[in-house]
This record gives sequence, structure tokens and C-alpha cells, in this order.
Amino acid sequence: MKSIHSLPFVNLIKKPARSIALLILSAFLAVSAFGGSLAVMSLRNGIDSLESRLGADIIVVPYEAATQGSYESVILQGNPGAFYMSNSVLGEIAEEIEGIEKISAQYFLVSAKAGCCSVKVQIIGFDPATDFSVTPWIERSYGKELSDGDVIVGSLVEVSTGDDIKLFDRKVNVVGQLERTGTELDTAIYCNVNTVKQLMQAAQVKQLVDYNGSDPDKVISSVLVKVRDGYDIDDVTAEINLHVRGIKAIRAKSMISSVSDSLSGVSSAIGVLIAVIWGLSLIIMAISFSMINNERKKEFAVLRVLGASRGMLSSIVFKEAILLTFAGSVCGILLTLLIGALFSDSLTSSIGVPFLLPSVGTMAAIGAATVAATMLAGALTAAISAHKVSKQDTGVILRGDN
Amino acid sequence: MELKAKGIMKKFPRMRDGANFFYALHETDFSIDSGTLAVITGRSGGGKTTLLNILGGLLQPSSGTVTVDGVDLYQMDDRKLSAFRNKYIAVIPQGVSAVYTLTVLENILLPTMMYGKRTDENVGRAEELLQQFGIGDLRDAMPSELSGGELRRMAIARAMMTEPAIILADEPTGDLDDENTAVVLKMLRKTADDGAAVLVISHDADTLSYADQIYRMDGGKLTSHSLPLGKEGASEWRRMNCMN
Repeated sequence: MKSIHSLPFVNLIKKPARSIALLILSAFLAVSAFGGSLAVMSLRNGIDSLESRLGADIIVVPYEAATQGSYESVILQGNPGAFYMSNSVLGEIAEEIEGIEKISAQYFLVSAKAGCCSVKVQIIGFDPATDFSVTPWIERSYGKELSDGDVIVGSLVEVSTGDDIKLFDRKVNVVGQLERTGTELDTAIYCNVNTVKQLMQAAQVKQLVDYNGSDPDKVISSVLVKVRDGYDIDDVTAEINLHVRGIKAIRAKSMISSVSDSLSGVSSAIGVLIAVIWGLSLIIMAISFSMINNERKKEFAVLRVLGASRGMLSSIVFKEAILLTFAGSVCGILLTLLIGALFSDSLTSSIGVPFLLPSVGTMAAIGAATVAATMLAGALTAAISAHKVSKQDTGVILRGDN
Repeated sequence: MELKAKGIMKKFPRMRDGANFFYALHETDFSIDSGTLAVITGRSGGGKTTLLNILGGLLQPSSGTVTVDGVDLYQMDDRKLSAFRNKYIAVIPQGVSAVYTLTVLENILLPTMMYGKRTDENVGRAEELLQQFGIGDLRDAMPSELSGGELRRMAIARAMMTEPAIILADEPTGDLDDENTAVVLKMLRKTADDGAAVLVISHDADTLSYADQIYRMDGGKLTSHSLPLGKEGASEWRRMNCMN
């Protein structure tokens, strides 16, 4: 030890059990604050990404898909799945319904095994001439229109741009990779209508897919509708349901709002959990500091005898608390990141809502705020104890000890 | 330096509301000058430790003043008083007074590190003191590895580290055998001869033969007067006070 200023460091090192207990408590605070904030923010990001990507006011799906509820997980989450209806639906809506600004069909196909991937892959086909949902998203990553035979893949598909992959024994060329969405769409493959039709044909030849007995050229999976300004979306939705048979038109916002509702429930639960953990941890921390410093009364009295001022004693207690909570919060943050890296995928699928981590800069800011909050909590709880220590009369402690 | 207490008194409330008081120290005058070794003896609970703590600036008296060369200790704020105590007054508390996270050497160096840094010169002096008190080979040991007697010697060596003008020792030979008692008392005597004012509180009769002044304290009152003693005087005093 070089000077009295090193004493807090020495105390922490030489009393490992005491230090580790308080370090774990601080780490626990940090895990709850950092992990909780990150989870809430990621869920919100997921919803934002979903909303901006969907871009449609109304989604039309086959009636059976709507009654089975399978369309939500396919359209919103990108879970592999497919359903089909006649392509005449597209024309019927365009011709018979008023107030349609944009309309475009999408085609879903599930590849049992692709050259790129060991799991099922969702193939999504769209018409670049009419599409307003996927194209803006693709443009951000690729910047060009997809040619026939070209595909663009989700961020988690393990291929490189320029690679060829085989889908239903047909070779397609990967021309780009999309930004992360936090959903199963990150493992999907996108292509234009001509490419998807070829793949659908190939799948039919291999007898892997049945298009309800129809020609693959005559089926579509869903129709996305953008309503013209001045028209009520609910009215247009009702009109479609009234005039077009065998389908179900759903307002996109209501689909997202069901996800948003579950998100808000999850967010509230996380918020309550964080508050409870912090409340309990702060009480435990305050009691721990108080008990520890009570045990150290004689040690503090000795330091006073040797010439330490009340301020110096408070400073020792304070420094120890700050060092411990700093180290604890950093450990907590690293632990959260580790847990996140190991379990984020299973977490995403178990909570069933899109989960998109914020940027590194935002995470660093949350991390810094967590460290600051944990240190502040440590400082506040230690302050109570430091105040008690500084007020104790050395003579009384020494007298009492004797 | 002269340490002087005038009209000091200490009372503690017996009940929470402070309606009833216990007088640990009745109004007392006391003084000790440089080059003097004074001993206060008396029954346990008689107020000796309270008096020592007040003289050391560790316990605010209920009334009265404590001055060192005219400087009133309790008129100083805590920061100044602490620095003053570090520089001029060494208190050796009763019982174990080690900082358990530091080695024996670091414990002895501690007073010099309160307001300064560890220097080679200070380490040299600390090692010298360790040798003088017979614990040289325990330099790097932790206090938990030491016996009670070794801890006492460490505390006394630490008190002498800054060569203070005033040493206030509470039962410094309490846990020591005859041989080590003699070593400690000789060191305290030498320190007084070198110019320090040394006050020793002790039940140990051997202490008296090293004293220039002897006091007796009972029931919070300093009753006996100081006596100029040699070995014969101490023997006479012991006989008078029924001590061995």
C-alpha cells in the first residue's frame, strides 16, 4: 500500500468474500436494468421494423388461412408456411373495390431443404412492377430491381453475395443480403414473381407442394393493399370482404396491434420486474453496507486514532462502494450480453414477438446509464452507512469495545 | 509539549431521552509535560479510558478544555484535529487495534501514510521498530497470524512510528509476558526521556517503577496526587495502594 488512498482497493482485495457478495448484488442490479432496458427496446424496435416493412393498409389472405390463424405468423413473423388462393382475387379487388391506391400479390413457398440451409426456408415472391411492401426494404440493401433467377436473402441466411444456391433443384443467384429484422424473415429468401413461379413449378414437379389442385401460375398467397387518401381503411376492408369470395381481408394495423398488445404486456412485466429487483436489491445493499460497516467499527476507530478524519472514513466507505458497484455493473452488463448472445434466438421464438437489438451505440449508451445508475445506487446506500460511520464517536467505540 | 486538561467532565445519558446521566469522569484537572512518564492506575470502570480518550481528542468532554501547548483540541474542526492528532498525539488503544487487511509492516506505516506516502525512510524506521519489539520476522505477516502479545507490540510500534510528542497508552502491557512487558516499558521510558510526554494507563504494578508521576482513578475521580518516584518510591506507593 502506497498511501491511505489505496486502502479501499486493499480492503476489497483482502476481503474477497465480502467483496464478491456485494459485487454479485451490483451485477444483479445491472443485469436487471441493462437486460430489461435492452429487451424492451428490442421489442419496440421489432415492432417499428415490422410496421415500416409491412407498408400495407390491408392484407388479403385465403379464408382458410384466416380462420386457422396461420397467416399472422407467416406474414408478420416470417415463420415458414404457405397458403394459396386464385390469382383472380387480385383482379377482383382492383376492379370492384373503390379507393385502392396500390395493390400487389405475394407468393409463399416453403423449401424443405435449400443448398444454403439445414432448416426450412420461407421463399417470398413479389411483383416488382406493383410491389410497395418488400421493394423499399430491398432497395435499402440492394439498390436495384431483382432480375429473373436472382434472389436476395435475409440477414441470417449463411450465404455470400454472388453464391449460387439450389432450391427445388433449380439454381438461383444470391445478389444481396437484407438488414436484420429480428424475425424469422431474417432466414427468408426473396425473389421476383417470375423466379418464384419457376420454383413453384419445380416444387410441383417434385410433388412437394399442392396448390389446391390449381396451376401454380394461377395462384397467389396474399394481396397487399394500399388505400387511397380520403378513403376509410375499415370501409375498404369491409368492402373487400363483402364482394370477394373465399378470402379474408384484414386491416394490417389490427394485426400489428395484436403483436403490439403482447409487446406492451411483456414491456410492463419487464418494467415491474426491474422495479421489484431494484427495490429489493437496494434494501439488501443498504442493509449489507450497514452490517459490514457495523462490523468494521473497531477498524474505523483505529483509523481515527491514527489520525483519519471523519471525511477520510466516509471517503474509504464511498470508494469501496463505488469500486464494487462499478465492477459489479460491468460484470452484469457483460453477463447480459453473454446471455443475450446465447439465448436471444430461443427468447425471440418463445415470446413470439419481433426482437431487434438496438445499435451498438445505443447499447453502449444504455450500458453507460446502467453503470451510472448502479454506481449511484451503491453511492446512495453507502452514503447512509458512511454518514453513520462518520458520526460514531471514536472514544465511545473504543470504550464500548473494552 | 504540555498536555493540559482543565475542568474536564464526561457524562453519558443512561436513558434514551437523556433524563438520567452516568458520570464517567467527574470534573478533573490533569497535565503532563514533555519528558514525563505518568501512570494512571485504578479499578476497571473507574474512568481511566474515558480520560485517555478525552486527552487524545477522541471523545468530546461534556465540559472543560484540553490543550496542547495552549491549543484547544476541541475548538478545532474534525479535519484539523485529526491531522493534529496524527502529527502530535499517538494513542495506543486497549485490546486489539490492527487493521486486518494490511500486513504488520503496513499497519506500522499507517500513521505516516495518513497524510503522506510510503517512503523508504519510513519503511526503514518501521523495520527498526519491528526489530526493537521482537517482531522483525513478522514484517509481512497478516495480523490474523499474530498472537495477542505480538499484536500489542505491533500497536505500540505503530504509535512510535511518527515519533509523536505525546503518547497515550491504554494497558500497553496487558497481553504481554514479563520479558515483553519489560521491553515495552523500557521503550516507553526511553521515549519519555527523549522528550515525549507519555501517559500510561495500567493495572500492571511493574509499570510504576518506570513512572515519574502516578495517579489513581476510581469512580471517575482522579484521587491520588503525583509522586516523584524512583524504584523505592514506586515500591512504597505499591505498598500504600495494596498492590504487588
